[in-house]
Amino acid sequence: MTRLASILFFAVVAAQVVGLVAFAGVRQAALTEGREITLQTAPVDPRSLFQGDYAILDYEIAEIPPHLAGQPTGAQVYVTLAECGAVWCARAYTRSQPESAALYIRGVINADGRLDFGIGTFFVPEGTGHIIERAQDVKVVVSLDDRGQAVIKSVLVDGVPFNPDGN
Amino acid sequence: MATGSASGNGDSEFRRRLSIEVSGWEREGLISVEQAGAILRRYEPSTAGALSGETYPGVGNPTAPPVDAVERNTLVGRAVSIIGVMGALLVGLGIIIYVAANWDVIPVWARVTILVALTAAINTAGWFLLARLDYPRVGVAMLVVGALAYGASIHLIAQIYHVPVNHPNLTTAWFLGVLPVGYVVRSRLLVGVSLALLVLSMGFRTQWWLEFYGVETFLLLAPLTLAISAAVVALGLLQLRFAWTRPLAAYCYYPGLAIGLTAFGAMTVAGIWVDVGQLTWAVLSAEYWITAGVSFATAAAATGVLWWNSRDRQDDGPVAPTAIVATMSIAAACMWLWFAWPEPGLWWLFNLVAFGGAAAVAFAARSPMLLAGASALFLMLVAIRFVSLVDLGGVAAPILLSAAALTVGACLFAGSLAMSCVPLVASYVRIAAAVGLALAASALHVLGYGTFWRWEAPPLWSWMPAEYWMVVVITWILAALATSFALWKRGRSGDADAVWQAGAVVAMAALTLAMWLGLRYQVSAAWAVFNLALPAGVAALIWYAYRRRQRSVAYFACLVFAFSVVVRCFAAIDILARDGLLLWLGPVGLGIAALVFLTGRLQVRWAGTATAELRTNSRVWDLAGLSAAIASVYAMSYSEPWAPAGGAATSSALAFLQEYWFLAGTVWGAAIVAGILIWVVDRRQSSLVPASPAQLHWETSAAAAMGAICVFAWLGLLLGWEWTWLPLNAALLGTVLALVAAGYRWNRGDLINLAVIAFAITLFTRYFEFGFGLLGQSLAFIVAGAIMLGMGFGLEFLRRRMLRGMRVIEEPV
Repeated sequence: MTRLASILFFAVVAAQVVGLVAFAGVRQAALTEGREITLQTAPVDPRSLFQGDYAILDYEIAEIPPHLAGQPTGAQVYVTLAECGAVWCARAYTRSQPESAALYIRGVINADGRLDFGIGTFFVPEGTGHIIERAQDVKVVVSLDDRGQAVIKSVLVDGVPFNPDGN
Repeated sequence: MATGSASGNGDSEFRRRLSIEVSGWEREGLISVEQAGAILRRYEPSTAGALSGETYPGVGNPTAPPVDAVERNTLVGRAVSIIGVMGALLVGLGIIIYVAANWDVIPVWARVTILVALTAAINTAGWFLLARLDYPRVGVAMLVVGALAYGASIHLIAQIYHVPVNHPNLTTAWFLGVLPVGYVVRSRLLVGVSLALLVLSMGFRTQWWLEFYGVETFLLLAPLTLAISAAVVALGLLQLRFAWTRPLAAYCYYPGLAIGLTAFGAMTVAGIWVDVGQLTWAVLSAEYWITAGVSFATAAAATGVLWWNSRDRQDDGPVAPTAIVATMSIAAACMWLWFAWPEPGLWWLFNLVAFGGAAAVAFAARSPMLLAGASALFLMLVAIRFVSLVDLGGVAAPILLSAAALTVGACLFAGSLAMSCVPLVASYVRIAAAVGLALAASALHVLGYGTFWRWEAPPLWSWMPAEYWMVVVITWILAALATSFALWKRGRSGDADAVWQAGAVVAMAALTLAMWLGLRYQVSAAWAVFNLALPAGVAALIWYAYRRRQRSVAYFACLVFAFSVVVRCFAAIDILARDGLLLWLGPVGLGIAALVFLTGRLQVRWAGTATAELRTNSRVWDLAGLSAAIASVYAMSYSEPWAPAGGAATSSALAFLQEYWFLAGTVWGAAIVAGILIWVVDRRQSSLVPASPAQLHWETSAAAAMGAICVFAWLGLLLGWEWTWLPLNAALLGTVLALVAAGYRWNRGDLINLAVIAFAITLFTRYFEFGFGLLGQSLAFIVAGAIMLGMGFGLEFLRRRMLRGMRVIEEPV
C-alpha cells in the first residue's frame, strides 16, 4: 500500500465530509438569513418509498395569470409578493426580475401549467402525513432570500405549527 | 486497445492448451501422473502469495489485479465475497430504513453530525481492513457500506431541509463521491456501484426534465445521452493506457457503448420521428447545453491525451478509439441538426446512414473492438427493426418474433464461424457463437409453447410488410455467405468440425422454414417440433463439447436446458395457480438437481482418463447439482404454503396439467438415464474408470435421497398433507450433516463449504422470517449484516490459517 493511495483515499473521504457539511450549511444559512413570510397552500399527499412520508404542497400563488398563459414550460416567472392579512399573496407576475425593492419569489412553469418554487415537498415523520391531509387549512412559513429563492421553515396546520411528536 | 485484455486471455488460453498437451504426454508415457500435475500446477494463476500473509498486492501496486479479482477462482473466496457484500447491503439498507424512520426526535445539528461522522468512520474502517489488516474482501464490502452511508447522508440532509428527493443533483453528488473511492482502492465492485449511480442520476435528470418540459423532450435526450456516453467511452479507452486503471477500463467503455447504442438505436425507429416537428427548442435550459458541451470537451480531451500518450509508439492504437468517439459525437451532432430542420419523412435516411455506417466500419476496421462494436450496432438495429415490425403481426407476433430471433441467432452463429478464420477477430468468436446460440435457443423455447400455435382467428399472411421479409432475406443471405466462407476456408485446412458447425446453421434455417410453413398452413401441432428441437440441440452441443473437450460449451448447453425447463415450469404453473408456485417447482428442481449431479458423477468416470480440466469440471457439476437440490428442498420447507389455502389446494387442478407432468417426467427420465449409464459403465469395466464401492454408495444414496424427497413432496402436494414441511426441514438439516460427513470422508473441502453456506443462508433467512415480527426491521438488517460481515472476516481468517498450515506440511516434500 503506497502512501499516495492512502493520502488520496482520505482526501476523497474529507471531500465527502466537506461536501455534506457545506450542503447542510448552505441550506441552514438560507433558512436563518432570509426574510420570513407565510404562504397559503392546498396540499396533495403521495408517498415516497425511499424516504417515508412527505406531503406535496401546491401554493395559491402558483396559479399563472392569463397574460402569461402562452409561456412555455420551463420558463422562469417572478412573483412580487405583498402582505395581505395573515399570509402573503401575489401582487404581480413578471418574466423579468423585478427592479424594485419589493419582496419577490422565483418560480418555473411546470408541465401542469403551474409555478414550481422549489418548496413543493415537505417531509413529515412516518405515518403522520394524514394530519396535513385532513387539515382544513395549511399555511407554509418559508425563508425567502433577496434572489427570490425560498426554503421551507415550518408548516402551519389549522394555524398551529405542525409538530406530531409534541416537542 | 486489444493489448489491455490480451494478457489475461492469453494466459488462460495457454493453460488450456498446456493441459491438453500434458495429458497427451501423460497418456504416451513420457511423464508420470505426478509430473503432469506438477507441470500444470506450475502454470496455475498464483494465489499463494496473497494468502501467505504477505502484504496485499492490490493496493498501491499498479501491476497487480484489482482488489476483488484476486482469489476469485476459489470457492471459499467467493463465499467470503458474497457473504461480505450481503452483509454490507443489509447494514446499508438497515441504516437507511432506521434513520429515515426514527429520525424526528433528534435535533437537526445532531442529525447532520451523526451522518457525517458515520460516513467518515465507515470509510476509515474499510480502509484499515483493506490496507492495514490486509482483508481485501471484507474491506471492500465495508467501503460499499461507506458509499451507501454517504448516499444516505445526502438524502437525509436533503430531507431535513425539504429538498425534493428526486432532485438529480443529489444522485450526481453521490456518484461523484463514490467514483474516486473506486479508483483509489481499485475495486471493480465500487466502480460498478458508482456507474450504477451515474445511470440513476441520468434517469432522475431525465425525469426532472420531462416533468418540466413535457414528453416530446424525450427525443432531445437521445443526442445528449449519446454525447455523455461518448465521453464515458473516451475516458474508458484512455484508462487502458495506464497500469493503475487498466483493469477498470472495461467498466467504463462497455456500459458507455451500450448506453450510446441504445440512444442511437432509438432514433432508427420510424415512429419516433413523427414527434420531431413538435420540438420546442426554446425550453432547453442552459444546463442541457452545458452538459452537452462538457461531454464533448471531455471526449475530445480524453482522445487528445490518448494521442499524446501514444506519440512514441509504433502501433496505430489511437486510430480506432478516435473513430469510435468521433462517430458517436458526429451522430449526436447529426441528431441535433435533424431536429433543427425537422422532416419526419427522412427517417429512412437516418437508417441508411446507420446501417451503411455500421457496414462500412465493419469492413474497413482493423481493430477487433471496433468490429465488435459495429456488429453489435448492426444487430441491435436489426433487432429493433424486427420488434417494431412484428407489432403488426397480431396473433402470430410471438412466432414471428421468434423467427426473427432465430434468424439473427443463426446469422450471428454463422458469423462466428467466419470470424474463426480471421485472426483479427478470433477473440470474439466465442461471444458471437454464444449470443447467436442463446438467441436461437430462446426462439426455440418460445416456439415450443402450445398456446402460441392455437389461434381463435387464423393469422393473416399479409400482415407482415415487405420490410420484414426484406430484413429476413438479407440476414439469411449474410448467414449463408458467412457459412460458405468458413466452409471454404476451413475445409482447405482439413478441419472436420466446420462441417458439423455448418450443419447447425442449416438446421436453424430448416427450423425457420418449418416455422413459416407451420404458420402459413396453420399447423397447430407445430409446437411439438420445436419442443423436440431444443433438447436435440442441447444434446448435440454436449456431444460437441465432449468431443472437443470444451468445458464452457457443456456448461452453456446445460444452462440453456435448465433455464428452459424452469421458465416452462413457471409458465405452466402460472396459468392455473399463482399460489404455492414454489411448492410445485420443488420436485422439478430436485429432478434437475439429480440430473446435474448424476451427469457430474458420470464425468468422474470419464475424467479419470481425460484432462485435468474435465476433472475439475465434474466437481462443479456435483456442487451445482447438490446446491440445486438444497435450494429445492429449502423452497419447500416453509410451513405457510402447505396450509390448506396454499399450494395444496390447487393440486386438483394441477394434477391434470399434462405439461407439468410431461416436464417433470422428462427431467427425471433424463436423470434416470444418466443413472443407468453410470451403472453400465461400472458394470462393463470399460476404458472409463469405475468407482470404488464406497464412492458408489455415496452417489447412490445422494441420488436416491433426491428421488425420495421428490416423491414425498408430490405425495404431500397431491394428498394435501399440511405437515409435509416438517420432514422436509429435517431432510434439509440431514443433507447439511451428510454433506459435512461426506466432505471429511472424501477429503473434499468444497462439500463442507457448500454445507456451511447452505446452513448459514437457511439460518439467516429463517432469522428474518421470525425477526421481522420481534425487532424493528432496520435493526434486524443491521444486526444480520454485522453478523455476516463478522462471519466473512472469520471465514477469511480461518481459511488463511488453514492454508498457511497446509503450506508448512507441503514444504519438506
